[in-house]
Amino acid sequence: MTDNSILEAPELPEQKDPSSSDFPDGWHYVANSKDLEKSKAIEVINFATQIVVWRGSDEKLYALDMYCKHMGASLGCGEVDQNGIRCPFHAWRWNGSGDCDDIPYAKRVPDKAKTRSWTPYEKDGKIYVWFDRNGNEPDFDSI
Amino acid sequence: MSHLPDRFPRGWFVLGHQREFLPNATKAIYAFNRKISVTRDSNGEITVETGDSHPWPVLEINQMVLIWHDIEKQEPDFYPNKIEACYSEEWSDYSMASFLVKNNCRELIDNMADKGHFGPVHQAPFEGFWNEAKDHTYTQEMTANSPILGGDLFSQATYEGPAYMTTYMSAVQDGNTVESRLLVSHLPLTMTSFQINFGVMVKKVPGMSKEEEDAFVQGYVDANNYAFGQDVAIWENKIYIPDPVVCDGDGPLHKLRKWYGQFLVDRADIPKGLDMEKREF
Repeated sequence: MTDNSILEAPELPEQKDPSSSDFPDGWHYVANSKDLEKSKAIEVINFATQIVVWRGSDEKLYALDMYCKHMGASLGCGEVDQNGIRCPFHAWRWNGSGDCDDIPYAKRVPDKAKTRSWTPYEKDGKIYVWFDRNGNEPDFDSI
Repeated sequence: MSHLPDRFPRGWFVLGHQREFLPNATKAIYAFNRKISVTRDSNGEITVETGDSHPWPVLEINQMVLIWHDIEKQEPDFYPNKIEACYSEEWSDYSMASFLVKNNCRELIDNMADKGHFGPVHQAPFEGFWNEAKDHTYTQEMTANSPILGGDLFSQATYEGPAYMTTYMSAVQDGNTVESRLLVSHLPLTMTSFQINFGVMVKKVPGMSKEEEDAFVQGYVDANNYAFGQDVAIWENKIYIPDPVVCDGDGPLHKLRKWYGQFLVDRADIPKGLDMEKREF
């Protein structure tokens, strides 16, 4: 007789599929500008999928899928390096377009080292990220 | 939950140090989604009650009590090798520590080939790094200069099956060569949680008092606890990438995962070609 009730299995995280989410299309508020200083990164989970949003040393905002496409660690625990974000697991650096542009211990970056990028926008002290399930370009007039 | 294995792996799993199992006493251990009652009788024999009608083989070796888990309910097809240091007066006993990790136990295995994580996660760059796979064993060798464990560090870590890993390590501290042995074992509690049981023993240094020896072993336990803490911070906040894009500096991660996969299928379905000759990465 196995007593399964004695142990509770924790749920493991997954990168949510944004196209299957019931998140509405459009701009979504994710943070206040003052909470995202230069060279800071935050995890955002109240979005169509989990994302990391950071402010580069150029003061611009960038956003990517949260989990690293290499070995799956959260980029939200990573460090901003110039305008990119470095993963805490293997220090791969991702730029705001979703390309890995530096691996400290590799001779070259693999062509397939790409992840999904999102478009942030800042207005009146608030940060928004664009979501459109059909991949339509951001509508800057609607904000 | 997608991507999770459909079973717990086949192999030997450490239930604890043999001193934790006293004669005429029963100890409850939670593992494999069940409660396991472990009893040592007055003759010193250990039996386990798992709730299954078939008995689970038990083994006492290298100071540990191990249990054989196999959903095919067959006899073990391998055994851990005896380690002389575990029976020698020249060495301390294992000092043990344990903690729980909320993820599938396969996450721990990736470390064997994961050359690239030592710098960012452990601030411990290494000099040489080798891997070898042979039948049910997988070996990692490493040379490094460690700020925590000493200079001229050499370590050889071998998995015998999916969950029992022993390490021989030597390092130079204050001009003396220090030899140590680590045990890194784990017990899956559920498909998404496991407990690491690790042990440290050192070769006694002539002239060292019992107090100095204890303090020294505790230093190694603390250093390893700290290093595992760094891994756990990653493990508990990551997703599983089934088929990672690797770069030229990564170790043989795909090869390692295929080797580990032999414990997650029936014996008849184990593919050929899992061995890998010793190679530097």
